[in-house]
Amino acid sequence: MSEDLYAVLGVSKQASSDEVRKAYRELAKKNHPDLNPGDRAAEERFKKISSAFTLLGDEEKRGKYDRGEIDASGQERPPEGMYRQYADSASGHPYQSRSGYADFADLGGAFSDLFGDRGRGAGRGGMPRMRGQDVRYHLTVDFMESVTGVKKRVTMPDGKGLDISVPAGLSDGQSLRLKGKGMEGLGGGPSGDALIEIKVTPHAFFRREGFDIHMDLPICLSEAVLGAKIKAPTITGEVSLSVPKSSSSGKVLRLKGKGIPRPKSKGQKTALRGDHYVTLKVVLPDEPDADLEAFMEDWAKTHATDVRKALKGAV
Amino acid sequence: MWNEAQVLTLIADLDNVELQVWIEQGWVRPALNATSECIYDEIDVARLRLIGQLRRDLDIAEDMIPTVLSMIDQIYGLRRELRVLVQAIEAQPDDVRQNILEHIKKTRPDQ
Repeated sequence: MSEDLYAVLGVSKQASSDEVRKAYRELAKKNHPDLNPGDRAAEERFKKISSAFTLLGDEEKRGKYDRGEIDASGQERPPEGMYRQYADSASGHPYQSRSGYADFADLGGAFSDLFGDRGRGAGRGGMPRMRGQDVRYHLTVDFMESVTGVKKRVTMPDGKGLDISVPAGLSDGQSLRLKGKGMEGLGGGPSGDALIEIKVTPHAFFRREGFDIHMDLPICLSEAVLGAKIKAPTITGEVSLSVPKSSSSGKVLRLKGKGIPRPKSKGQKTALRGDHYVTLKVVLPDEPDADLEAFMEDWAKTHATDVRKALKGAV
Repeated sequence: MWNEAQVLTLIADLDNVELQVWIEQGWVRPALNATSECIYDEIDVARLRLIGQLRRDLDIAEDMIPTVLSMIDQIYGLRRELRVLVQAIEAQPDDVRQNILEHIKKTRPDQ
């Protein structure tokens, strides 16, 4: 790119720095991508204009450029994240405004539902009534808090506190909507909502899948062979659990109704809960054990079984 | 995700006093973490850059910024809704699309 940067800004080589700045401003106002969404040509022009100005707007760099020490191409701006790259994406974002079509609710018919859920009551004439914008917060709760529910307080940018009660059973990434706790409306319009996105920090050994809890439970060799009654932690406390005789690693036992409370449906008095699944993990002694080895040697002589039968012929 | 100090190093010509003012004005609304510290997403950083460009490069007066931002937000909101509608129309059978096009022509005879 060996374009004449003065031509890009439409100024003469003798232009003062004020004139350069003024020319840049005029062009930037016309071509800024966020003021011309959808106009690719304007975006290209804006890139050229701003890289020309990075060079010509700086006395020292301009001098070097005039003396031919640097050329126009050496000064392309690194592609910084332009706002529209995020604001114009298909997914929603916190700054998105629906006030530009709030009155579509008045159109009636099928589309009033599509556009109208936030636009109700937009006044006609006079002061524009605008619904306040939604405000989005992130709130981190730990695993057990998410299971039992918790009350939290966050401080909003204006310094006001907002109490949030997180209901039991929310999972990572779910959002709460607090009606009317967002930005104030304009001209008597209703306030926006506060959207609280919940982040749940993982637990050391409980894993959540839907409303069920999964965990690995270590058992020792004698418990695996002889069976045992053992205690297992669940989210509601310790529960006793029967390990059947001859349980292998990987065996899954279910503790019914010891999982996460499901949302109550209408008329339901107590919440149904998911289940708690325990995957057994047989743990051998840390050090080799002479007695065990002696016994196993004897035992193996008379108990040859092929546990890998199913894998044969697979490859 | 960046905290305030990181954002100030990312955007060279932004100082923390200005940043506080922009947040108090509600122009930028970063998320808050559990200890009520501001956490900035990519879109927040891009929006801070945009406001910087509006103020400095485009020389837009401070009291005009809310109006400009509100217009920009509305246009992106409209563009999103328009895109959803166009996609919905695209997904229709040919005759339905034809009807819609004819209706558009009727309501905009100048086009």
